[in-house]
Amino acid sequence: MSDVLLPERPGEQLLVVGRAAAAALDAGLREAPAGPGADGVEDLLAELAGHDTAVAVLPTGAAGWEVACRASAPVLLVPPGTGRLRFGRVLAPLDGTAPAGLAIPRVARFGPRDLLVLHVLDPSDPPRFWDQAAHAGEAWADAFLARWCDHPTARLLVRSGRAADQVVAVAREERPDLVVLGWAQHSESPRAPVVRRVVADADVPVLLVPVGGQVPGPSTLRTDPPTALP
Amino acid sequence: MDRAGPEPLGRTVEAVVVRWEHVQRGDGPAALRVRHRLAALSEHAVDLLVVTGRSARRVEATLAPALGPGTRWVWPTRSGRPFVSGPDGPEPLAGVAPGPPARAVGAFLDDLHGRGVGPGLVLLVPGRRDAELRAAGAAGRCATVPAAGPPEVLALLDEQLRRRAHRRVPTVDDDPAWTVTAPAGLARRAVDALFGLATGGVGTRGAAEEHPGAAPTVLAAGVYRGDGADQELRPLPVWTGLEVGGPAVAEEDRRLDLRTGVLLREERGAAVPLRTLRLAHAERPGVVALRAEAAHDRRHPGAAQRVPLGERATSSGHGRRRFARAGDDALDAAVVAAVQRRGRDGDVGTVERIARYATGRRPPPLAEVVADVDAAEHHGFDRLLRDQRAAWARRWEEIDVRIPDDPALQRALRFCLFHLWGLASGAHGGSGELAIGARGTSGRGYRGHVFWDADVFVVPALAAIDPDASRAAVRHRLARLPAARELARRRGHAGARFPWESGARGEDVTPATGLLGARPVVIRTGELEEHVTADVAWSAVHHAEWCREPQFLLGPARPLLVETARYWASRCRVDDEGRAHLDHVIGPDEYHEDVDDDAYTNILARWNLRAAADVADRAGVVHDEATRWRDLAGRLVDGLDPATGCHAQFRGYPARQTVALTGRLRPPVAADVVLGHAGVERTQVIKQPDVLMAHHLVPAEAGPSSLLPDLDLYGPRTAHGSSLSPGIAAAVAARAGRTDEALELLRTCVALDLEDLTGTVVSGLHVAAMGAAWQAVLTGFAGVRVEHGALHLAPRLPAAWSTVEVRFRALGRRLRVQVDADTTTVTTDLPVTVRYDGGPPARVTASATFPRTPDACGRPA
Repeated sequence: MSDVLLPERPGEQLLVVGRAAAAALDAGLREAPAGPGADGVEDLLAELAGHDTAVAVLPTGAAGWEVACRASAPVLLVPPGTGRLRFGRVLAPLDGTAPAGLAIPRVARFGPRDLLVLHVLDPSDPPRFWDQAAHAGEAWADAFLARWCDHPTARLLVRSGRAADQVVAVAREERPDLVVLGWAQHSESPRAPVVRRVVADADVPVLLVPVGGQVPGPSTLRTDPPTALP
Repeated sequence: MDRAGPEPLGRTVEAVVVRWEHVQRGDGPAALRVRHRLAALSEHAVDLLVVTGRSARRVEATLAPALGPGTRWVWPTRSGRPFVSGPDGPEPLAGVAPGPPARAVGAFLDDLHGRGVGPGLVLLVPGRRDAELRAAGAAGRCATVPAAGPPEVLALLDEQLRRRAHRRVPTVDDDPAWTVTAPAGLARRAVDALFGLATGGVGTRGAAEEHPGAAPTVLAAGVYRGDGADQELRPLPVWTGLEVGGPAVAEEDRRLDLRTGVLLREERGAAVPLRTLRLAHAERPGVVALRAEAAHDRRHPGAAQRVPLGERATSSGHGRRRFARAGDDALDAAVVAAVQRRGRDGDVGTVERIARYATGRRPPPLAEVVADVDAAEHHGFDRLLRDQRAAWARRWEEIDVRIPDDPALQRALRFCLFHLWGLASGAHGGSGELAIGARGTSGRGYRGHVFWDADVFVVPALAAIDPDASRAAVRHRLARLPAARELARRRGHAGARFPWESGARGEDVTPATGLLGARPVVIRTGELEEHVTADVAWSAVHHAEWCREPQFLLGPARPLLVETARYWASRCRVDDEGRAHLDHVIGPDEYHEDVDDDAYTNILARWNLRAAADVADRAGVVHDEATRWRDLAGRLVDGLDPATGCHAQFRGYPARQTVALTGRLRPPVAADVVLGHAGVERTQVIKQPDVLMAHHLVPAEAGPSSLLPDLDLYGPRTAHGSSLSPGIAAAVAARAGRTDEALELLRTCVALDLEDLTGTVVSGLHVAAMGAAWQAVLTGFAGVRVEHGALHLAPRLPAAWSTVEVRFRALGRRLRVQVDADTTTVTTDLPVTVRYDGGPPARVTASATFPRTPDACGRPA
């Protein structure tokens, strides 16, 4: 059975979050053993590489970011001040590409009661057709969810503008328990700046799901209005 | 394909060709058993051909006692002339000249093909040293299995008998010209919409039997729930649900056979794969049938029908039968009866299910519906399938498009025709009315509300496919004339005003708000998009003219013409100079709201006034009003600028900002999502044909000399941000001779659903775009119009096509128009008057060929 991994001497806040994650995932909880690494990053990565890990729970910061950039398992970055975590309400920004969509099965394992999918329209690559404004939004949302997030509790929010701004803004408006982002873990990715911004500015935990190499087939069709999201 | 030996074929065939030597040899026990098996297969509706050089009399003497009366079997005689069994003995197979056995096999395959049985569904068993039949089988794509003698033949026939006795799932003939597979990259629920089947106005999405998803699986035309803007098509009890144990289906193939109206689903990778085949019967309205098979321990069929979660429906049943009634007293309801059987063939478990849906304000009593389903079950699945294949084959003989140079486009157009037939099915077996929602019955998108899509996109297509259906669609509007009168009265006008979005009773169900991209917007179409009133009138006149039903126009449809004309007469404002105007409207170009004198609206209103006056004159009533209508029509401005030959789309349009449609605005594009509502209003960018739509529907009113100037003006300004746009633009461009541009627009039109260009196919097919695609081929490239009881032809071929053939109905005739490089040939089942390229009328009694006249470029026009 896969575990929830905590860093060595995690502190009370991470312990609370880790226990909540383990309970939600019906997983075990383990701490990374003490190792020779100066900042613990290499030890954590070695631990992640050597064990089946459902999610690593780490504090937001430089070390956590570096682990998230290199880990093969999802990493939950927890900002200071995070209290008890329930995973009931999850914000999942999706850009209409396969990599982003691959984060959904991961977060679905937490059993969210309210999976709020955010899609940010990019004016530079608009939809081709918008038949009747009275119905097109509903039809488009239905199709978007069917394609990228076929989850029973999912609902779609559509915004337009800069993706990073919108994700941070919606995270503040909707007060989710966490934000989940699928990403390819390299800085050249067009989504990397968005991921960095959300991790830096969102005041809720961010679950980063590595999706590199898991993309099934073409990542996009021109039929979907893509955005600049991660 | 030529198989190595008599191993099991592994699939069910619909016809068997066997060499005489396997049947007659020595009259021993094996040969007798072969005859017995042939007779048994014949009882299962399998067609037989026994190939021999013996005389018909001798063959009959041998076979007839074994096969019994009423079976259908064919054989070629020594002379090479094939005979078919008949009630009075053998009869020559019509249309087949004497020749070698291979020719008889070819004729047999042709005959089967005419009944929807492709060569992939034929088992051919040649003799031991029978190169001739083997070659014939290979040429015809038959499953050819050489057999050493009767024991091997027996094994093959026994396999077929066993598969039928245990209700194994049949297959389809994989003809690429007719088979649509799931497009790569589309969401599963989008493919569910593409693979929908319909009969009697009841549509079933192609959803997985064991995992249908959240979208309603079964919807019926005109059967709604709720009120106001939230009124929507009611999810009906589902007849396709199965419980399949074991691992979930990971990979599968789904194939829609357009030629026979059958959907096949096959799991990949399993030792005993889940396979299902379903049909919505073409000859028995409302009857649907399914066979499924899987490993015996995975197959748990459950109830024969299930009420969707959260739906109020009464459901009951006993034994193999289930019954349900869905709907409320105020709206149309549905009654459903379903019956199922289980079977087992070794480790394969099977399910066979047949259901019958009946809908309407007063649907038939349950006992009647049960009797129908019992009759269908008594007929048997095999015969239902045989009848289905034959019925669809007959449909395609009458209605089709053939473009040998462009097989992909040909198949895409057939896909459109297939679903238009599904829409048309709603006219049969019900109330005689046909409600055509924006997505038909293929999904819950647009809530099933009826828009102008029905009147000017779908009705013209149906008129050329199934006149009963176009008449029923007009009748649907006619029955809602009281609601239209009430809407006009409430808005302070006379006559009848049809709502932009029409609900079950014809009430206005247009929502008040919506979304433009991410931005909430106020919806004003219900208040201002009034051209729908003239569109409804146009559809009635078009149906009557195209189908040559003048009495329909002078009788049942006359109040519609009169009341809509009265509406326009009371709606017009006449200025101090005596010119009439329609202020504060939205035209088909919905990017510009609340404009005055929209050209399309005014031209259609003018046409409506004149058409009503003509009908009134012919009926000899309301003569004074008719005079006033004509006078007012003459005063209605249409924005035509004599200096440029162009129509201004609305007052003030020329002063709007010009914007190049390039970069992120490259069509097709939702320019209003990009620029915002206020932003796009400031420009000359339009969503879809407006002035050009008038040229399409009422060319005489729009002025033929303005077509090219208007194309030059509006073509580069059209964003095609509506799915309605490319098809009509293609039709107009083709008619104007801009055929290569038209062809590109047509390709976009047919890809809307097959490639999900709109990203919304999950919520249903764009049936109006399908109607527009058919119109583009029929009235655009083939150049077919009907005027004053004559067929007008002005075909225009794109450079990529050397020929195109359209088969359609018009003027009460079944017609074929084949356009070649130098000639156009018209074939008709009844005499028809044809005017070719503006020439004098010619009476065509059976077939006539017209030389094509060169266009300005020197090509045949």
